[in-house]
Amino acid sequence: MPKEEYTCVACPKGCTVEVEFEDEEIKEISGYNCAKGEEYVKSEFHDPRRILTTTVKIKNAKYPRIPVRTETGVPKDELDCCLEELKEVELEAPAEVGDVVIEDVCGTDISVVTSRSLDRVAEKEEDKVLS
Amino acid sequence: MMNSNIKSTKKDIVVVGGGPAGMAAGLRGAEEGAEVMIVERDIELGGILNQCIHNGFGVEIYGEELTGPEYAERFTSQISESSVDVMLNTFVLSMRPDKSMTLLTPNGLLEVEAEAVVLATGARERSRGEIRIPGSRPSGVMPAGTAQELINKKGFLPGKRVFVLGSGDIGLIISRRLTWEGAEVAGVAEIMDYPTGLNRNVVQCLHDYDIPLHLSHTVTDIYGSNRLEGVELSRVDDNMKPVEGTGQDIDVDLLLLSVGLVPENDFFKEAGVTLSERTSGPIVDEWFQTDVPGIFGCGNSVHIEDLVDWVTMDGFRAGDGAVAYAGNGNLQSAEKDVVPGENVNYVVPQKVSGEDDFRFALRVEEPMENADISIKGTDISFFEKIVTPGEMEVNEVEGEDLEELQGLDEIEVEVTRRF
Repeated sequence: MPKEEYTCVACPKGCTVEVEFEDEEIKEISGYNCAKGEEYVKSEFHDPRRILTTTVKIKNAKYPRIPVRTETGVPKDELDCCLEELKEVELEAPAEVGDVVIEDVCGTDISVVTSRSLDRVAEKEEDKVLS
Repeated sequence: MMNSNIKSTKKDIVVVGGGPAGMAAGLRGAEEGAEVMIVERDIELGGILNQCIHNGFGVEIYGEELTGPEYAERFTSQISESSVDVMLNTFVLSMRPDKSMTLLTPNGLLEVEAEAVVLATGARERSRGEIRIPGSRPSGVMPAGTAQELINKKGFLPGKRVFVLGSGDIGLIISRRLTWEGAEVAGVAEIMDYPTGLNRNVVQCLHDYDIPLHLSHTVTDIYGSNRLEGVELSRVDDNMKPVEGTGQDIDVDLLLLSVGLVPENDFFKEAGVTLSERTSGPIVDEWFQTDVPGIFGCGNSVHIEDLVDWVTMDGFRAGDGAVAYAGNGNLQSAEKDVVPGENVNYVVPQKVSGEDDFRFALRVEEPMENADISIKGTDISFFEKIVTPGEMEVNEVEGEDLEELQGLDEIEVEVTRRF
């Protein structure tokens, strides 16, 4: 039976998990140490997803960028599309952690949210941090 | 004599550094009723978490994967509601063994006397000078963490075609980050014959983007006069010496170094604390107290950890220790040495009392499968399917197991193959 070895990335432990499969169907999974690991490898086999973490522009904050993330994993093949959509976004401070930036990124039905809060600052203060 | 123009104050606990370690220590101190000051040189709390915008933080503590800024905000929001006195944009000018210090604040100098001090100063990245790469000195050579700060906080891309030396976590994560920002990562070189960062990062950051990982390779030359034009990549032998004739030139305009972190230990030295040769951090006991009573360390200032969760837990523990010390000027003395045995590079803490439950962290020297992490001369043993130098192993000795330590003068921790 064909086998495929995965390094589980569900947590930083990085367990080595072996999948035996036949006709694109999983027959046996071994080597995982938790339910998350089993779930990850199944998903990795059928529908690999990744959480995207990047930044978008923000005005009137102490930094010119604010970090954002997809709420859950998006299909690996959609990462480039998500990055392109996020390039066009510009927020304005104040922002709260968890604010929705894009509701349905690239038709994945998954939201992109801010991953920190940033207060609104006077323009003078903004310049000071950047210089 | 203190200059009467200089303001002064007294605190039960002063925490130096407002990253995850310091925030945890400070919060715990305040929760226990101590008057706490956190001193932070940056414009905000959170430390390096603020630039670590990737996910993977908090799995051990919160059971979910947070990004660095999300993890930080769970603590900053608690601190802003607590009694902790937070001093931002503030530098420690001098640190003294009697737990007094001089601070440079935005409002001038401030003398602070503390009952207990927690030095949560984190770590710094090893630089080009420390690993002595030959070649010219153009711009475009920097530590990976600096690039991470430029990209994630400032929105500035420091190069378009990049080579990364070192497969530490920061180097792996920045490789993916650069790819997402439109730069091309030509490759990652690792002088060892295994990646030194976490497995998950090799998978998620390199494999996903077909970025080549050159194991047993290093950068042996740097080209370019004003701006970096390229690097020479060479294979190394078993003694990690470059093999002549194996060099290949790679055109890049940015070389990032991810060649390890070193505890920021200057204030420990100023305070007269004994440092460990293996970790470059202070020698600490199970409460993270150093050999200067009332001075504590925690997090990366003690040893380089790979999960922020452990940093936080150590911070809480150091906070508990500092509260106990500030309260009655005493902590149970830790007389038993904890020493690294077979296949153990280092173990922290280096001293324990043997009376209280304690967590110990170690790094192995060589990768090993089906390993037993055990305390020599006892039945205390923890099984691990695989151990590698890139992954810290953390275990706890508690309850009845402590009785087994009673007869031992020295606690030798070893990692051996079970089968």
